[in-house]
Amino acid sequence: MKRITIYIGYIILLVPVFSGCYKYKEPEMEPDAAYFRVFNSVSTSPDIIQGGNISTFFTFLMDPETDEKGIPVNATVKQDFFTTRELYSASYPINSGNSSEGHYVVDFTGRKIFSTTPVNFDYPGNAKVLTAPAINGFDMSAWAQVKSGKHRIVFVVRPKNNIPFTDLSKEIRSQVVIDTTVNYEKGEVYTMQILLRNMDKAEYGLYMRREKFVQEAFEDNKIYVGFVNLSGQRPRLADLGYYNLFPDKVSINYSFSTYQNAPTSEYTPLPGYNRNFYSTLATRMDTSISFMTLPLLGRDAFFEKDTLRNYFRVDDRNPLKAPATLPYADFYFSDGERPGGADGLFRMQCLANPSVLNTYRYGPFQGARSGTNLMPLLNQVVNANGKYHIYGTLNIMEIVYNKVYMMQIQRAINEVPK
Amino acid sequence: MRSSIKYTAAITLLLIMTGCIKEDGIPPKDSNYSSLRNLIANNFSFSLWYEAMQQAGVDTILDNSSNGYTLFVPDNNAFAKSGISRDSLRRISAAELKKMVQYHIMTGTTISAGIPQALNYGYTALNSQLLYTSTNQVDTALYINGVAVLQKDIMAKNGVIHALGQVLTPPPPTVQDLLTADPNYSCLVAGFRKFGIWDELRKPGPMVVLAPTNDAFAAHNLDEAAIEAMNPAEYRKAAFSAYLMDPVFFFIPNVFMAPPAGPFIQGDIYLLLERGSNGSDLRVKAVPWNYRSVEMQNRSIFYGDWVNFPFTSPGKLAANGIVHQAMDLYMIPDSVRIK
Repeated sequence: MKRITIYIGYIILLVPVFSGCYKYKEPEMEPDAAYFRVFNSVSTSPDIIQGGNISTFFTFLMDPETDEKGIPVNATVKQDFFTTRELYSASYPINSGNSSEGHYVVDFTGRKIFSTTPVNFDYPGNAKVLTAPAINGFDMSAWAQVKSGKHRIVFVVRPKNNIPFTDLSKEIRSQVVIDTTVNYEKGEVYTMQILLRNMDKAEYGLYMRREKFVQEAFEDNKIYVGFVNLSGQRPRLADLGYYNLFPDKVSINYSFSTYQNAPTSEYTPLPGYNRNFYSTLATRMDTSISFMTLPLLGRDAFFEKDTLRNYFRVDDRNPLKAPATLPYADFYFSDGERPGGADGLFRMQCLANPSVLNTYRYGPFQGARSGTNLMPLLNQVVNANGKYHIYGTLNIMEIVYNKVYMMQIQRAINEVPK
Repeated sequence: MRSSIKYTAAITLLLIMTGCIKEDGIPPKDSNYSSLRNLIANNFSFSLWYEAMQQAGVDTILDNSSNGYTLFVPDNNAFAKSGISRDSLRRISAAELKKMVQYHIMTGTTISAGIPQALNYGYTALNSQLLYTSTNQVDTALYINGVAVLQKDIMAKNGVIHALGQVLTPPPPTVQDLLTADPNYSCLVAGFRKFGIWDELRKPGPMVVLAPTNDAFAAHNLDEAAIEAMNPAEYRKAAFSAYLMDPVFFFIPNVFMAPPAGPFIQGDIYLLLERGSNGSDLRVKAVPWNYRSVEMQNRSIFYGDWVNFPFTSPGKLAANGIVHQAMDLYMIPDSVRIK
């Protein structure tokens, strides 16, 4: 009798254990995979008398199913609530853990501005999809796998609310701004962006770049930085001085500086890295990028008596904050049509902490303007297993009208350089 | 004693296993709504609208049982605001009334969440003319042809009602028709004819005419005869072309859903559009292209002062543009006289 009771007890215990969880099927690896990532690089606000009057909130669909009238209904690969990308994006999904507070930014007055809707900054972002393996020594987990070959790419303007795409009305789903077909070759890596081709007429376009850095040979002890100009047609009001935008031909110089404690406490450019000329970006929408190289410095540049040096604090508006001491690169932008004076129009300082840069709206790069704009450090400083790791990186800086978007790709050096 | 513990354990486990009910999906749509006819016939503030529908013979759609209809229903206050009383309603010809009533109705049930967040999104009304909806994330209120919807989404079994603050008028084919139909604009029409702009108002558009009334011209000692007597060679064309904005299309209350980043450039002058100091109107001023230069920046009036356009006037719609009534001149013709 007692044994039977025990058996029954076991059965009662085991039934919930075996039936409690739903076992999800693991997605299968794509045998002929290409890899792709999508950004929304449109950041204009609607303007009723010039340019478009739609918001820059999209749904991205790949190979959508359509109804009998050709209106997209759904897609297996899609990114809904697709908002303008953040200034800084890494090569792995930095937004994969969502804050319990929801997504917010902190504005100039120190107030938290919460997003009332779900937002996604890129595809795959934090979507649960198979991603690219490490290629050419780069961490590529922000690129999704896709079957190589032809794919139809559709972008639909959607309202800023929390209704998922499939529940939107057909009038909304038919607001297609981009409908095109792309071809992915096996094993290649692609970065795609929805961009404005013409701001005055609100014409959108898709920019697709086959990333060549996965084939190129890079040296371990260097940092690579490349710029590309993805601005569309210059708006009429920019020429009249109502917008402050990057010029059509952007001329770029750069410096690389380290903090010296003696004889005075200040930054000094490294010998050979003082306002060097990088390039003049004469054409726009280029799909090949030439990289400048910066040295990967030794331990002393990053640590002071075993303590990590300081970032420039974008999260602190107090003028008496601790000064920055990490080594950094500076970029000077000037008009390629009007040479002379490397100081140029704008300056960008890569000295901020990437993990907080996207949240704070008063320190970082706000748009083309005089004064110093901050962007993240070109070295990735990662604290893992109680140890700091300093990574060299490859950085693609994309100039879009008045902003610079930084895509940082981590290079797999898992130790502090000697 | 021990068996009672076992029983308790067994019962607890059973409760854990069966405790949650797994519901699948979203619960079915509530179909207990009243019919469109019930909602409209029994709502006193829609009584004039109901009468108009009956008089026009359009009320049969209220009993439909297919895809439903979307009704933009002006309430009795809206009729009063548009100067339509029960009496005058009865005197409107049946054909005209039918067209007017049908302009407030579209097929299908379109709830407010189903309307794109865009400005001037065109829907086809029952009389096959376009209705323009505007809503976006800056102003989530819904506007139909620039008229604010007072109450969105009054759901019915066979359709949906959005209550409107003003009556909509079916648009005539061109802006020319609007201006000639209204004797208040005879000075402007004379000016447009004189300066060779009149024919542009027949083009497909879109365009916006910020139309000063005869009173506005009279305040600057101009009447039809005086405008007829003007010699176009002695004035810059801007004397009258400043009142035509081309190609744009906006209703006054919607301008701040998508505020302009800079001036509108019309020929050799700029039009500045901004929110008025009281916050509830749009103001417009004409300035020369170099108004921000060192020698000009301290001057405030060039061609005329700011002219206000209240949000409450949605403007008159034609198929190729909109006419907004201006109560003063922002471009005084004498200020562009060629000396």
